[in-house]
Amino acid sequence: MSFGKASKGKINARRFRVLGELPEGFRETFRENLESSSFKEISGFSTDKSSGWVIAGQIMDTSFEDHNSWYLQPYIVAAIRTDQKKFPSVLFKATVKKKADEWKKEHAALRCPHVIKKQLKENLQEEWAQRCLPRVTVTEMVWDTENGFVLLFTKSDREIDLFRRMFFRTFGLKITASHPLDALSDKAADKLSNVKETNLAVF
Amino acid sequence: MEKVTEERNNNMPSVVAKDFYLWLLWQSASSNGRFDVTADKKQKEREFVELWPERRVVLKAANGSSSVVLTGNDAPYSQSLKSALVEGKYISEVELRITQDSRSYVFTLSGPEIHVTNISLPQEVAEGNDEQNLESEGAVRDRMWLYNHLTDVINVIFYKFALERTSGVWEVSLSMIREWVLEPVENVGESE
Repeated sequence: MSFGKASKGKINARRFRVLGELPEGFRETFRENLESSSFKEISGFSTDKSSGWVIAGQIMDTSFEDHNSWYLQPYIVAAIRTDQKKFPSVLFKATVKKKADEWKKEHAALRCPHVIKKQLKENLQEEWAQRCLPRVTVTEMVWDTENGFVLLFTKSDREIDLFRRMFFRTFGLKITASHPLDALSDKAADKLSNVKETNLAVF
Repeated sequence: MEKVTEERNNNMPSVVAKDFYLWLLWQSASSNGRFDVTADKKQKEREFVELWPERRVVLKAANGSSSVVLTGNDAPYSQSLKSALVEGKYISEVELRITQDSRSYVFTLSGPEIHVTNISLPQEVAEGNDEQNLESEGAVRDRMWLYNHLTDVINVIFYKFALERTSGVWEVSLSMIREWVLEPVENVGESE
């Protein structure tokens, strides 16, 4: 079993500090929470987006029953999988227009009413959703519960935003971007935040 | 460590990262790559690492409008780099190598948030094997240990920079940095 990016390759990740304390007996609580927020497949007819937890390196595995597959004391290793079905918008709009034109011809009408157009659009969405495979995004994380840091294997702001929300919803803890400044006292950081621009023009 | 807030880090002016990257290149050149990373002042035995710039430096115009990417072995030592600095450009991204006790890390520092990315960990670490669970587990632990170690080293170096940047020593350092920048590069091929 591989643990995805946590176990191999270059590390391209953002580091976050976890704010707050771990609850007592967190291993079992987190297992339940990961299970309840695990990834659910999008139904054939839907065009919705679906996000949830999966085992890192095993995007089809949504069971957190076996602790060994996600808790390598003191590390929690897991991934967020997001599926989204997207249609080519230009083609979709053109097809809706064609269907509306056909409706007008069939009913000898000058225009296609809004309510009918809406229905045609929904029917087409349903039809295409069954034929369309989702775009899958996987964002892996390693949570060092001993030192209170999370390593998130992405640079995408969109994925980071989703992760923040999912992390809070699942574990009840907030995260904040980690920075070398963390090693400084508030007083030293204050002093540093007031430094003036270095005048390179003197060169 | 005192309480760290997101606001505190977000409010840090971008000049801090710009100066940090410049300081790193100058320090590396002037100290023959040797950096003291002893975290505890009371520690008797000093800890050192070697820090050298690698093959990639990105510079931006003062208004951030355009960027210059220098690549190749000589990029951090090139006249192009110094000329760009003289023109008023600043370093926004730099690839570095840190070596300690035969362990070598290559990584990139980037942006005003000083992100540490694109990290190649020391070769000695085994990579995870899809078939062998224990091996993968060991790989995660080893890699996280090394990652944390690298972060600690970078934090100590940044801490030393921060102390220097906010003290009277900075004016002295700055005049030495200026001298270094104005010093012409000799016998080094230009970067790509």
